[in-house]
Amino acid sequence: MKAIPSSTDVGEQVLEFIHHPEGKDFNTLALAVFAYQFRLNLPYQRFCLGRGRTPETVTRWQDIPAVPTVAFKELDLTCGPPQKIFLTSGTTRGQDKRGRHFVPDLRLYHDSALAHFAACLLPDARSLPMLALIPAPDALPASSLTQMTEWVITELGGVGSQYFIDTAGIHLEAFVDAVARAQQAGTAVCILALTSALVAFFDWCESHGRTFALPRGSRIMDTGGNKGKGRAISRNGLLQSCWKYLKVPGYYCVNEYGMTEMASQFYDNVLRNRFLRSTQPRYKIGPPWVRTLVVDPETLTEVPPGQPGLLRHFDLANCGSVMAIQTDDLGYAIGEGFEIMGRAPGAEARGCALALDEFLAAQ
Amino acid sequence: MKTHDTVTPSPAELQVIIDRLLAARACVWQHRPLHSVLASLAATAAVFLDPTSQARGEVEALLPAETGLSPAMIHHVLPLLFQEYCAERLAALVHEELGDPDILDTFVPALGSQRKAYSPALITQVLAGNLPGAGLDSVIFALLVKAATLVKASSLAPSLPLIFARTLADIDPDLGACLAVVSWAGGQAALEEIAYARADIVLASGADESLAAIQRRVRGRFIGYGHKVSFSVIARERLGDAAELARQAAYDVVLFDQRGCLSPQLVYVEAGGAVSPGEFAALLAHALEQWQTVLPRGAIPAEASVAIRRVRDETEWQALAGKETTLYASAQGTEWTVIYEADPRFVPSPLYRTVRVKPFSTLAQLKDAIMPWRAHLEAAGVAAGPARLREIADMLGQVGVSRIARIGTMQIPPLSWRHGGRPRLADLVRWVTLEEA
Repeated sequence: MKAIPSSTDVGEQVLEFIHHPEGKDFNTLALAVFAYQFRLNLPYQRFCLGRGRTPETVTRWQDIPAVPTVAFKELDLTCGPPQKIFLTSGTTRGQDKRGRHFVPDLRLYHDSALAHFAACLLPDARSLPMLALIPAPDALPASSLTQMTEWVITELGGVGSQYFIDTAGIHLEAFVDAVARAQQAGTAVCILALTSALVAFFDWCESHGRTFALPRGSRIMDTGGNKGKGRAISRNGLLQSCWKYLKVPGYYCVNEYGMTEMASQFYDNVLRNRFLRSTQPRYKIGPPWVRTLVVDPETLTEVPPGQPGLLRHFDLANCGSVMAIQTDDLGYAIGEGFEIMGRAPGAEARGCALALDEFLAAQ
Repeated sequence: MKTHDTVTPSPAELQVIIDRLLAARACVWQHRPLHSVLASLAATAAVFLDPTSQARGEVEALLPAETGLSPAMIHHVLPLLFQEYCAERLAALVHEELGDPDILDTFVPALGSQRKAYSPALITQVLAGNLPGAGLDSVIFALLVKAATLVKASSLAPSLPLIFARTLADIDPDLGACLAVVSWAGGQAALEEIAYARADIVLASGADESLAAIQRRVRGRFIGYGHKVSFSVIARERLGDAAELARQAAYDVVLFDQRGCLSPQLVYVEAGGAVSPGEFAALLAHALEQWQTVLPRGAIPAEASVAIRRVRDETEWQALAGKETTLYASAQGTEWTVIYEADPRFVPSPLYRTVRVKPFSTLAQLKDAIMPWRAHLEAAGVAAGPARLREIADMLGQVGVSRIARIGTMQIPPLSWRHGGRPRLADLVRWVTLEEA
């Protein structure tokens, strides 16, 4: 009979994987995490049984049943009492119900988030002042992004790190001052920003006729997109603005893609490529303890690289909740990672019926 | 077969197209009595009813790719689309809405005085979606009242309007010269300015924001058909034959892959009948599965698959969480989905054969459920005993539904239906009274 590992065993194994991923087998640990979650996360167990998938029948991580993100709005998906509950923003698609991610062991989130942030934003292991256009923890205490930002600033940030969004709102002028000071002092900085806040800063620069030149080595991480907030901007438009207003080149601009339901994140590979002298094109990469499948939205089977589909992530750091997450983000596999896609053109020519998405968009 | 590409005109070319339309219309308006116009329109429709005609063959070959509907669906719906435009039915419509068929040509007696109807010189029609036949009724009605018509077809699906125009021109070159089909991708301000500003009436269908954008450029009258939602109501006394009703209700869902404004997105089933609302959902699911083999669903955009997956996931997890809801879904892809939900709230569907079944106990409860949607309601398919049909119809009419149809016929509106709650022909013309001593 197969011994079922105890909770601490599996969690410690994942931590060990995060700290020393070299030579470790993802599949073995993924199956152990699945067995653990199947045993302790009872709603997930019911879901798996409904699909006829159990630790006895699943032998490949790709076959572990993936939970859609909407599930986090309906049930408490956890393997134990949470140390912290993170809430989704709840504003997407007009739904007021917020998703809840229970995290029984914050160490997994902490170690995963910091390790991959460092790999993608600080491959040169520098300690840079972090200028955060992301809400301070007390402004948004239930947000996983603010939690992660707080860890990044306190543990990886250099002297002079600071938040520019708090309970009172965004402090653009203070941010401008900090940018100007960094330029004057010749101190490279790392900007951590909500995409929408970064766009607000560029708009400020445009209307005030100001441009800056941050010292070499400065970098920008943006996250969250800016749908529905302020003006829309394309990825290329954003990169051009980073150069125009801050003189930060595109290969020092890293977009983060993450979700409340996941302890691990994905980042553009560009800054890492620069230091590894890799010639890969820009795309998103996850850490070694995460795998991503792209599945056909019709059949939910894996599609070949390059072909669009839904992203399905398997995150070992989600050991305490659910490892396999089915998103409704469309993307395609490329190289070692994937890229997110925008809306397909022409999709609007549908008919004359009012559909759910149109109704939600209008709300 | 070659697709029918419309060539995007330059602004100067569009001016010339409109000049020619107006000249052709002046000629028809003066020299062609309404009955002869009607005969040519009916003859054109008849070509599309003839399975051996070249036009029908072209349309059947081209429309699956343009519309995303399956070839079987196109083959099935073309007769349904064109059968209404036969001479008798068009004549009956003229009689009902205009009275005397000569009223466009001469003053005719009316309530002790005399009356004549004057048609607009130019009607511009914007066909936004790629649903086959959508807006064709307005094109035929405009020509019937002897207005020239500029059709801006969807750049994705111009074939049916183009082949219709060509067929009409073959049958009746004078009348055919009163119809031009053009097309351009969105955002061509100069062309839109000309097309909308020169028209006496602009007719458009589309999402509310697209309609508002068009309306800003219109100098004459604007008639907009916004995106709408339809639904079905099944009274308990009709549930004795629930399997057949489910088959017919499924047919309403299946036609046009549920993309039409007449497609039911929800089915309200009254509690207390021979089968429960929950059981009816299972019957509807079975019927959708059967229809899939006869009229398979067409291709759907990835975003639509994602939206269907999302509501399926929601339902599955709400059921796991103990909510009173059941998911029925096609096994492989997203071909059909039935969601039974005890919660009576009206929720639109992601379309493409995704339908919710909800229970109701009293008409008052049903009314409360649909009331928030009054501005968006189009049609209701109703199955009820003769004693209650009028009561239910009156409630639906009060709330804002403009058409109440038998289940199984929701997608085949008769010409007598007043789309948008307004007359179709009478709304296009201007009335003049002559009072003689």
